Amino acid sequence: MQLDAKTLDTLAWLSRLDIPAEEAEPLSESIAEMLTYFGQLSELDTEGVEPTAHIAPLENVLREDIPAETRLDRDLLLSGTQSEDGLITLPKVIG
Amino acid sequence: MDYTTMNIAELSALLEQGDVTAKALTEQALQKIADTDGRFGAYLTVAQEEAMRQAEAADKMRAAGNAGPLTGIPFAMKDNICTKGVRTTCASKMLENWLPVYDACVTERLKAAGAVMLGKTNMDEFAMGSSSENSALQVTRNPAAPDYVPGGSSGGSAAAVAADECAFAIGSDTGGSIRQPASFCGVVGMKPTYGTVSRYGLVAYASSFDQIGPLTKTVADNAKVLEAISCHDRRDSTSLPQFDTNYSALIGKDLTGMKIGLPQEYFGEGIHPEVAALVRKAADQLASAGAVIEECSLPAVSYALPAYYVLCCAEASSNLARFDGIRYGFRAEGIEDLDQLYRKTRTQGFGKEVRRRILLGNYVLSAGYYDAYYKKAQQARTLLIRAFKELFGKYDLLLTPVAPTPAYKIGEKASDPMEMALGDICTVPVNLGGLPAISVPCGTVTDGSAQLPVGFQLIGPAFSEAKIYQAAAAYEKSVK
Repeated sequence: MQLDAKTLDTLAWLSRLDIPAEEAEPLSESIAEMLTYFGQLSELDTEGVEPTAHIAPLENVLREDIPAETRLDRDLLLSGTQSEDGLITLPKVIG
Repeated sequence: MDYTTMNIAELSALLEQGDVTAKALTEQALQKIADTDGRFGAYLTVAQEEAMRQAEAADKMRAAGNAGPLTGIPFAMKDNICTKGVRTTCASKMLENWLPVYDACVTERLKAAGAVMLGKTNMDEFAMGSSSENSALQVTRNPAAPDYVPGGSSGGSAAAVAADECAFAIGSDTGGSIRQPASFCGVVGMKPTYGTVSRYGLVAYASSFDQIGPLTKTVADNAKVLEAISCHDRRDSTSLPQFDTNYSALIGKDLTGMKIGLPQEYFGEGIHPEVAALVRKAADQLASAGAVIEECSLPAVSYALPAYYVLCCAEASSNLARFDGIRYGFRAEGIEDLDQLYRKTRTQGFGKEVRRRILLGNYVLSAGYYDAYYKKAQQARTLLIRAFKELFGKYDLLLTPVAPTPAYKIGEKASDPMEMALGDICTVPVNLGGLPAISVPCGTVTDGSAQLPVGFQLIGPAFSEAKIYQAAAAYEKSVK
């Protein structure tokens, strides 16, 4: 089984990835194989079962807004990026 | 004297008596890495100067009377955990030269405890894999048998401990990434209850599963390291507010009355017969130490692996969206527009397995497939959690293999991601349930001239780490 070319293209776009030509066939086979394997889940009776998004018994809590020194400073902003005069530099991306 | 073969408790005693200094231990550990790591490839970065500075600080801490159990003890950190000023690569081309500007919570805790970080260890890229072969940067070999994989994704951490290139190491476990390499390399590895070790500063792979934990030479050492790194941290929104961190409390206590279940599903088809036999032998040892062992059943595990892969790929596709060529390092050359900037950067920056999981994750999250895959997997997760809960009404702990096989040869499964995934079958149920589980060495399997270590897994309900360590330590003592 293989994923059709159009589906693979859509997935690649959603993922903001290119699929190198030599990888297309093995990749679509491997994705299709995994999807067939995932298909086992359809055998499971999940009528009325709540989905678990997260294991921790936590809820959103509100707290007072306390001023504190944050790490969102220049160092963090520019960490590992290409920058000039404290600004992130990018190639020209708008025509 | 060779200190590198010693465990934390032994080193700590020597430091306390003044027989050795942290500086001397660190010098020897760094020399050991220089001598042997060319063969094993456990470390991606050796932080020599940083380590020597930390060692001197540790000696000062001791002189001032502020030493704890980890003060002056040399350790290794998995390379997906942020270390200020020491590069943190996730074994990816994407972050190959990235220097974090802050420490992860775990890094802060270990620094505060006076432990000495020797360097950062190799792993599967972004923790995706089970053999460390998906590292974009180097190959790591199993110290017990160098033609074999060390397991993964924390393969470098497990190998560093097994090769005596550190006294302990820190790993992360999303679907078995601490326990399976611990089993393959013959060391002790613990994946703690979800939410008990802060993920602040851990590069996210699948956030609802990722958990940091220790790899050590002994069970007692493991409990000590977990005690040092476990805490509530308000910077991690899933960090639990309150729990007991006295993980060593029950070590040495008798197992009389402890009930341990052996879920039959973990001993059937696909499990190497010698692995199953070694785990059953460990069950006999635990019985002779006073535990009551009973066969039991956990049918829900049969859906654990597909459910896990659906959810972890979905979470990964979302988490790794941040690597866009604008922030965090790598950016492709020759860009003409924004779409190209994203796509070329991500295609060149991520390795094959990472790209495959992102594609799969986007598939299961797409409109039209969401209910069939993603929601269904979340429901399967609920059913598994219920099944575990029911079993833990009857048993204190469950005993299973860690992996279906011992370590395999480098290259043997690298081209077959499905086969590689099946190797996670014994470990992922624990992550789906957010449970604690340990891997403890229980013998070796012979393959040609290689003696391949095998571990057993003890699984407990949430917050049962002290009990897991109690049983694991009793086993360890019984075989010494």
